[in-house]
Amino acid sequence: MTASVTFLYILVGGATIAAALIPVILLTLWVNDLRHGRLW
Amino acid sequence: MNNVNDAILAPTTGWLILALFSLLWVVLGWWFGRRNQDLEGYMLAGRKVGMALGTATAMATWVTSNTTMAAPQLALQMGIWGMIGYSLGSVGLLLFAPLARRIRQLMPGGFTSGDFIRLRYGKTAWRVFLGISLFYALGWLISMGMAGGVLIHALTGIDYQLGMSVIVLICVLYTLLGGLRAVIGTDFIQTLIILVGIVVLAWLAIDKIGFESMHTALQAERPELLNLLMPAAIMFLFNNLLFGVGEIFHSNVWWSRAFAFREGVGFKAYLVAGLFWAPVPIVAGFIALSVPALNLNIPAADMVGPMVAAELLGTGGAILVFIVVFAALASSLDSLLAATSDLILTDIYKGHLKPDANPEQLAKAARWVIIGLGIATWLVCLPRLTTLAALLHFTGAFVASTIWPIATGLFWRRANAGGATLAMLLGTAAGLTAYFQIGFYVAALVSAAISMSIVLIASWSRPANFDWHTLNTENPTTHAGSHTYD
Repeated sequence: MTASVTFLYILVGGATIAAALIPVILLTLWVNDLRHGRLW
Repeated sequence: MNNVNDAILAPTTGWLILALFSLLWVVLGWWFGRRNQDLEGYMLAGRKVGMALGTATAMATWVTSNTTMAAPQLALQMGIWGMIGYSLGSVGLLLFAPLARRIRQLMPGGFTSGDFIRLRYGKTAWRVFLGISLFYALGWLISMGMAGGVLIHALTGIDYQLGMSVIVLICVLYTLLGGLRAVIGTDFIQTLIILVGIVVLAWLAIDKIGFESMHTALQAERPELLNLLMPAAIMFLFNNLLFGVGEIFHSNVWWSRAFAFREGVGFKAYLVAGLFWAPVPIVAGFIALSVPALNLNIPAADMVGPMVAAELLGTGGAILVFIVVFAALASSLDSLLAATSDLILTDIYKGHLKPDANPEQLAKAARWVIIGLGIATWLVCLPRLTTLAALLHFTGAFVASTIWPIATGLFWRRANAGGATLAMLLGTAAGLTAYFQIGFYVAALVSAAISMSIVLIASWSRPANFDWHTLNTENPTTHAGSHTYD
């Protein structure tokens, strides 16, 4: 695997994993706001 | 060339998805908006928006159909730097975080970005700013409407004019019904849809093609896309960064959220939204790099995203892209409609046409402004004038000129009105010259550089001594006639 492929792998793979985690974090924040009456 | 026509949805399927999601957004818009009791509730969601909804709305609004459609286009034109450059648009959200906190502190009863410029720099700067801001807002609205029509036509064969009309109509309808609460509430759900959609698409592209074969095909057919020293792409990277900062710093879309967020939320929400946004253009854009491996012939650059998805995933891919871009489109279009109508209502109608308007008249006018803005957008979108990215970057020259007047105006007492006005005018002129003489990728760069020089020289040579209390005024929409605009 060349350095260029590795770079592509890390950039796109990392971004995809990060993007996959965001909905989970947002829903956690939503539940937290709802429980403390701070949604709106 | 592979035949993608088999994967494109039948018009009936397109209409069905369109009808289902349109119904969902309109019902949710009405449901979220039923809590609105006064104009402040309608326009600023009662100024108590929490962290979860705040982060999602900042993120969703910045994930436009241009992110999901122009990111693949830019990846195809500028390669890896195109993706990274687009991703640097997140810097605007990150840098706006301290500004959002400052705005809430200085203007707890503030309403629009125009309010700030008027109170901080006076009438001349205010009018120049309104010209820039409204031109940009209309440009953004048009690019959203056009993107909607293009996408629906590309994926379902539904006529461009019809598809665009439906999208504009639906967004106008639910923004009208629920105001900013409808916008923020639907943004949360739209964010989840967009993220899940692009992650599934990227994951399947990686799984079906793989990095190795994608890289080999790129190296053979489009080696420049892997070149990390591609000069135009590096210029684009910095230009896009400044463009994003200019868009966010000046636009009432972001200011109205700074006013609407609960105290203490603005800084954190914008910071987290910026971090969350950064991977989105990379994930959405990278599928374009699979074009050489798939041996696809792309007839128009802005169609690359939907075509790759349809080729990779067949009908399911086409449906997924359709839903994702519809969500991205709606999340930005509704925000822009709400924030621009606030600006027109407060700064044009109340500020220039009817200074004595009472809250009832303003509440009525707010709805008419949204309808008028929707009709204006629809009319300009009817002919498909230019490619999406070209339209988007044309406004870069305008918005980048506002970065320094706004940032220094919020934090420096010495920033003065003459410098701010001149910086916006000459920055825009220089940016436009660069756009036509050199290219779209330097317009914001030149505009911001000229604007910065003028603001710094003016603040140094003729420093003002601004009193911050001037900004803390009563809400102009609830106290009829209590304001003068001098």
